[in-house]
Amino acid sequence: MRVLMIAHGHPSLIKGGGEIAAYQLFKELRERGIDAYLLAATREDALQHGGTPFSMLRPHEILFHGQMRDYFNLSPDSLRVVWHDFRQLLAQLQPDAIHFHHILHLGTQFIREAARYRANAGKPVRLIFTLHEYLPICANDGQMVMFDSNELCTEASPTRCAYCLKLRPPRPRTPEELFLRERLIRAAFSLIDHFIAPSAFLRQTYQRWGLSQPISVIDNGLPPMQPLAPRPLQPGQPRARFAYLGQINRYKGVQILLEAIGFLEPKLREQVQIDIHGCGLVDQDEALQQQIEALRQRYPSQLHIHGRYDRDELGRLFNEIDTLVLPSIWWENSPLVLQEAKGYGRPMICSDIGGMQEKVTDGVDGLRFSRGSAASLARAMQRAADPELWEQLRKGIKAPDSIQITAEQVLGLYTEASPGA
Amino acid sequence: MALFPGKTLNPLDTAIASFGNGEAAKVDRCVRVGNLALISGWTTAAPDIAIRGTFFSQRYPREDVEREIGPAGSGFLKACHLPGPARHLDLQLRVGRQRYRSRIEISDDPAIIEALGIEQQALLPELWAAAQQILPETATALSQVFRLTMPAAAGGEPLVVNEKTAAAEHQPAMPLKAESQTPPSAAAAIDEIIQIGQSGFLVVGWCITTEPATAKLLLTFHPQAEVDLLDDAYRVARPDLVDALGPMIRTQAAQAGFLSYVRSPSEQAPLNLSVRFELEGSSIEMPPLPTVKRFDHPIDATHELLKHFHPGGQEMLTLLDHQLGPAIANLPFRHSGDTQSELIRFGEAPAEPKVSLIVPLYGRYDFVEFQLSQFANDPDFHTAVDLIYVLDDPRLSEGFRDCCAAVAPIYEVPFSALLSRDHLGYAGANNLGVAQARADLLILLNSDVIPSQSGWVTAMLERFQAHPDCGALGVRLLYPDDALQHDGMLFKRLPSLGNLWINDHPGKGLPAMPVDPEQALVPVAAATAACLMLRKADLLSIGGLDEGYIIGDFEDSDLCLALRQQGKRSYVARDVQLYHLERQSQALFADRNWRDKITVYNCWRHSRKWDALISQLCAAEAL
Repeated sequence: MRVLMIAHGHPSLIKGGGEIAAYQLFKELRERGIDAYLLAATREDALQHGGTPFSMLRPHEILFHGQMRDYFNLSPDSLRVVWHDFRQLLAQLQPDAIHFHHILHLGTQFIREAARYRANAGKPVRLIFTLHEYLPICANDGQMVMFDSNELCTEASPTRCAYCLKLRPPRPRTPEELFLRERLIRAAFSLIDHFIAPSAFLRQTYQRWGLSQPISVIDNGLPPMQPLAPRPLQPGQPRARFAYLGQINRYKGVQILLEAIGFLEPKLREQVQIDIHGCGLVDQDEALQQQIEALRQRYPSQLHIHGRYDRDELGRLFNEIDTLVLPSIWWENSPLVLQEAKGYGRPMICSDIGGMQEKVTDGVDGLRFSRGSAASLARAMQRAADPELWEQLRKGIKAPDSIQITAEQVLGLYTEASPGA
Repeated sequence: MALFPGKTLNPLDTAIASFGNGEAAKVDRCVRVGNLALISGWTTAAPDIAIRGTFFSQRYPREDVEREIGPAGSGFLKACHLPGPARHLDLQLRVGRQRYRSRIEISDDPAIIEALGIEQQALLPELWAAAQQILPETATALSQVFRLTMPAAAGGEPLVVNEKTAAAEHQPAMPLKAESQTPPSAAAAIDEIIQIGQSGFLVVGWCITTEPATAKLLLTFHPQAEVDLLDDAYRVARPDLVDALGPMIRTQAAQAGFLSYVRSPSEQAPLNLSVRFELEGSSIEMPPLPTVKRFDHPIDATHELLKHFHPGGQEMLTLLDHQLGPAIANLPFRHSGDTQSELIRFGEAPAEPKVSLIVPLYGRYDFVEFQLSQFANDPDFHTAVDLIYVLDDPRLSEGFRDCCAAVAPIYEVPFSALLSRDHLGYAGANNLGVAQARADLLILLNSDVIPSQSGWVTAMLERFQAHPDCGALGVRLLYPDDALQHDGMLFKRLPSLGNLWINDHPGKGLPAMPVDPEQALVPVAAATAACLMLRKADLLSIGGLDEGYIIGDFEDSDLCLALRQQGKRSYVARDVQLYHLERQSQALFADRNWRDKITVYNCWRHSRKWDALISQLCAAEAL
C-alpha cells in the first residue's frame, strides 16, 4: 500500500503541532512497511530547484515550494502547480490513500486534483483529511476567537465574520467575500471520503458547520515517552514550578499565566517559579510584548522566559518542573503539549474550553480554570502546589495514545471501502 | 431694447460685458453734472462704447486694468450731452463688426460724482476745455462741481473716438471691483455643444431677458437649416448667473439655463455652426461658439450628458422625454449584431446539451473560479449544460484568457469563453452569448450567482417544462446571509421618480419564507435575469434582449413583458434557491452618482416602452 501524506509544513523546518502529527504518522507508517511519502509545503524558496515546485528533504520526504498570497481563500498563486506538477506527482506515485493534514500553503484545489486522480486511478483511492484547527471555518487565523475582543466564537456566518474581521489587517472583508471563501472550501471538502478530528470538540464543531462525511476522533499519537520521577522536594516545600511550553501569541494566553502570579497567596508568590519555553514573542504585537515585559520586570525572580526548544529537550524541561500550564484563550484542538506532559508524568492546568478540556480531567490528571481568568488560574496553581494533591494528580495520569494506536486507526480508514465503491 | 451677449460670464465678472474672444468692457460710473453725463470705465483693445451726444472721449492708461488684463486694457472717460432729465443712458458696444446695446443708470449721488472727480483729476481740464467749446454753461457747472482751476487759454482739443478694430490676443478679462451694478437687459451664452453620434447635438447654455420678451437663439448648421434652441428647450436654474449679473435677474435665473437636443436633418456631421440671438426684431450674431465635444465611446458621452441631469420629480420626465432621452438613445452604442468576438473552448462540451447557460462578465472575472468550483460538483455541468462565459470588457481580455486557461484544468467543467471586442452592456453581452448557444433552452445567469446545491439546472428544467405557458422561469435568490434577494418582481410607480414604473422586489432583505412544494411555482409579473430560464426561439422571436438599456438594468422585466405580449407568462420556482451576491457587481462603478442616473434613464425608457402593458397587468391584478 502506498500512502501520500500531505502537510502544510515539515517539522525539520517549522515546528507546529499539525506538522509534527503528520510527520510522526508518516514515520510510523514507514516503520510498519507501508510505502508512505510525505509532501510538505514550505515557504523556503532558497531550497527550490528551477522549473519544478518540488525538492527532496530526505528519501520519501518531498518539499513543495508553492506560493500562496491569497491566504483568505487558501488559493495558490498559480494553479498550474496543481494541474500540472501535483498531477504529475500523483501519476508518478500512484498512492492508494491521500491523507491531507492541511491546505494552508497548498490550496483547496489540491483536494480537487486528488479527487480527480481518485476518479481516474482505476483502483480504490481514499481521500482522508485530518482537521487540526478551524481555518476552513474561521478567517481569523482559524482560531474562532473574535478579532477585536478576543471573545470566543461558536459559529461562522458571512455577516458575523465580516463584523469580526472589520478591523483585521490587511483589510476588512465583505460578507460576500466570506461567503465565497466558505463555498470554495466546502466544495473542495465535499470531495473528502473521511475526516479525522483529534478531539471530540473539533468533530462537533465541524459537524455543526455542516460537514456531512464521517469524522473519526483519532488523537495525534506520539512515540512512547518514559514517565519521569517527581522532582525531589525539600520537606515543606510546595510544588511551585510551573511551565508553559509552546508558541507565544495572544491566543495562547501566556499573559494570563504571568498575571496569575499577582493573584497567588503571598507565600506561594515568593516561592513560585514560572518557565516560559517557546518562540514567537518577537512576532507579536507591541501591546502584548510590552505587557509581558512589564510583568517580567515586576517578578524578576519568579519569571523566566526562555527561547525556543527542541523536541529532544522535552525530557529535560519536564524534569525541571512540576506542572504544565496551558492557558489558551482559543478553543485549541488536541494540543501535543498535553500529551507530552502526560507522557512525562506531569499534571496539567488548562483552560476549561474546547479541545483541551477534554484532554485534562479536572481533579484526576490535572486542573481546569476559567478561560481568560488570571485569578481562576492562580487558584488552580495554588491547589496544584499542594504536594499531596499534586501527587494524586500525577497518579491519575494515563499514558497518552501512542503513535502505534493512531497508525492502526488511520490504517483502518485507508483500507475501509469507499461509501460509493 | 438692449442686447448684450455675455459669453463667458463667470460669477466674478461683476457687471463686465465679456465677449468671449477675450474682449471685455466695463462701465464703472455714470454720473450727471448739469445737463452732462460723465461715463468712466475700461475696455480691452477692441471694444468701443458709443453714446449719442458724446462730445468728449479720452482713453488713458489704467494701472489696475493693465495689471489684470494686460497692456491692451485702458481706461476711458466720456462726456455726453443730456437732452432732458433722463434716468438712463443707452450705450452701444462695438466689437469689430458686431454691435451690442445696453442701458445704464445715471447716478445723481454726490459721493459718486466726487469719486469720479478724484479719479479723473488729470483729464478734467481737457474735459472742461471741450465743454467750453460747445456748452459754456456746462463747463461752468463742471468747474463748480469739481472745483477746477482752469487754464486761461483752453485749447480746442478734438474729440477722440477710439476706432481700434484689431482683436487683441490676450487672456479674458479678470474681475475688477464693481462699483455700480449695471445688469444687461438681455443676455445669452452657449456653454457646451455635445455631438450625439450622427444624429445631432445637445446644446447647453443660458438666456435671460430682464423685460418680458420672447428671445430666440437660432442655431444654423449645414446644410442651411435654422433651429430655435429655446423652442421646446428644457430650462434649468442657473443660480451662478445671479452672482455674475447681479440680483436683478434673480427671478430669471431660476429658468435661465437650457438644454436643447437638436436633431441634425442630414447624415453628414454639421460643418458650420453659428447662433444668432434675436429679441423683438433686434438680432446679433453670437460670438464664436465653443468647440463641439465629441466622444470616442458613447458611454463617455452619456457621462457628459448626464452631468446636466438631476433625477427627481415631474420635470425630470420633460427633460428625458424631449432632450436627454432621445439624445442618449441616439448615441452610437455598439450592438451585438455588429461587434466581433473571439470564442475559446475549454474541455469537451456535452454533445447535445439541454441548456445553454450564459454568464456575462464585466469589470471582474474572479467569480468564474468560484462558480466553477460549485459547478464542478454538479453532474449537470458535465452532461447537460453548455456553459458560455461572455467577457463584455475588452480591457480584461488578456487576464481573462489566462484565468480560463488556469482554472479549466482544475475544475474540468467544459465551457466556452466568448470575448467581445466591444463593451456592449448586459443585453448585448447576453445576445452575443445566445448566438453561440447550442441548446434550445437558455439560462441567463449572473456571475455573482452561486448555487446552493447541485441539480438546480435539472430542477429548473423540470419546472419550466411542466408549464406550457411558461415563457420565463426565475428562481428564489438569497443573499449570503440567507435573506431574500429575489422571489419574483412586480411593477410599482415611484412618486419620487416622476411616477415611473420600477421593478419592486417584494420581501427583499427579509427572511425567505418556507414554501409548500406543491405551490412553489408562482406566476409573477417579471423575474430577474440574474438567473432566468427561457427558450432560445422565444428570445430570438422578440429580437433578443433589448440593447437600448445602457450598461444593464431592466432588460429582464423588458424581456418578461415582451414574452407576455406573446402570451407567455413568467414564473418563479421558489423551491430552487441560489445565492446572489448583488452588492459585488454594484461596487464596480466608481461614479455611483452617474450609475444611478443611468438607472433612472433605463427606468424611464422601460416605463415609456411598457406603460400600457404594465398598467393593464396591474389593473388586472387589482381586480
